[in-house]
Amino acid sequence: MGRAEVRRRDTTDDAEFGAALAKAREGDEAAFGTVYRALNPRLVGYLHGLVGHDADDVASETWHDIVRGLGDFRGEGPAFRAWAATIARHRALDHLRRLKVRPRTTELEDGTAEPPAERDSEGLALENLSTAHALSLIAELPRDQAEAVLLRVMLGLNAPMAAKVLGKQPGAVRTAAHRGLKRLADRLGRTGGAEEE
Amino acid sequence: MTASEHPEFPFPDDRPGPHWLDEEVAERLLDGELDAAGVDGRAADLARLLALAASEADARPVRPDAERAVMAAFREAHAAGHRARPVRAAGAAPGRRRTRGPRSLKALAGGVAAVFVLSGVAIAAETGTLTHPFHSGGGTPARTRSASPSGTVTGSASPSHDRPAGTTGAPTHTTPGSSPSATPPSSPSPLPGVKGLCQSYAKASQHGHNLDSTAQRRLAAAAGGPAKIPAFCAQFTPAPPPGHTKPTPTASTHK
Repeated sequence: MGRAEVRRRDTTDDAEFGAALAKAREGDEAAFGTVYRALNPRLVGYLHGLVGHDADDVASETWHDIVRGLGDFRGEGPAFRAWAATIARHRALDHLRRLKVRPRTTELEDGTAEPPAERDSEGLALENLSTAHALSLIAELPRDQAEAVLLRVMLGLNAPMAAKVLGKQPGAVRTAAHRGLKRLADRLGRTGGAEEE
Repeated sequence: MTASEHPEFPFPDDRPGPHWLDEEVAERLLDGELDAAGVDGRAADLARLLALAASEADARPVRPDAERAVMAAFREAHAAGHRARPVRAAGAAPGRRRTRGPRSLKALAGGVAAVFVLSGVAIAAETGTLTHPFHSGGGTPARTRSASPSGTVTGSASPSHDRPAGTTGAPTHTTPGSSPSATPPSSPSPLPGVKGLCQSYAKASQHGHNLDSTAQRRLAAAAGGPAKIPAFCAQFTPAPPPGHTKPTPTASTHK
């Protein structure tokens, strides 16, 4: 894992994606395939924070809605991602209702389901953090924090757009995301919440 | 700063973050604009964590079946073209709307068939071939039944939004003997040969015989039961029991 990958790439921001999106709206199947392959992984990443391992299935449901609305959608890359995220979120909440499972509990807050002790006591050295764990680490945040972080990290939404998806005020979403970051930093075990003063 | 100084878990949300993680750094992290160079090492680590999560998502194996299904849905949606209703971003998930298509088509088909049956009988009645298409035995027969979608349609809850491929289980309204009364032809049109069967039945009855079992069964099926055969056949036979007078049926096999 090299330091060079700090900067995230957003495949859905470039001109190529925009062109594909425009063509997909006109019914171009190949272009739609491009859109799908670029966005779906991020959508799944976001959904992972909501429905865990069912993320792929919920993403599929989401796309079925997307294709039906695509012809009428107007907007560029970021707006499209926000739109897709909104649909995905509705689908995820439907899914959770179907399962009759509480939306992801805030296990870190209520303290009833704390993660393994070694994580707490020793923290997670980034060097030990495999790619398989980075996403789950975020997904383990309290849900509002996980969503706020993932909408921004996975889907590249800014705070106002993420707030729109979540139906909240931008300030609240920004705060939730920042708290999520604090937790993550804490998990990495190198922050020193002790430095809080 | 070492791991041993790690604070007690959980980390309270309302405490301020560590000094290096202020608003500005957090925003830059969330926007993916924080470069490792020139920032606190811990912020760089956090940035890397977020980047790892994103690349982890990107690296997930593609599910070809899912992609195929989505592409098929795309083709279908585009074929539906401008008829497709706009999906409002903030609206409720519109997913189920379309699945009703096949269902209502089936219901419609059933309704059309039922109307055909009823109107066929009605026309026959108007033309005088059937004086009493629905024998006054009690209650209106078939009508209410045909109006209700009795054919249970299995609303597939699967996300593979099915197209109306359905030949299976379409509600064909051949409701045999649905009403308790002497309901005449319950099939869409009087069975071919029913008139002949009735004539044979009448002849056999006159001579105190029974029809052969096959003919009897067919007739009973057409009439809605063995006991209903006389009333049923009364409509077709030229020589009804005394007291009844009926026009000679000719075009009873209304197709």
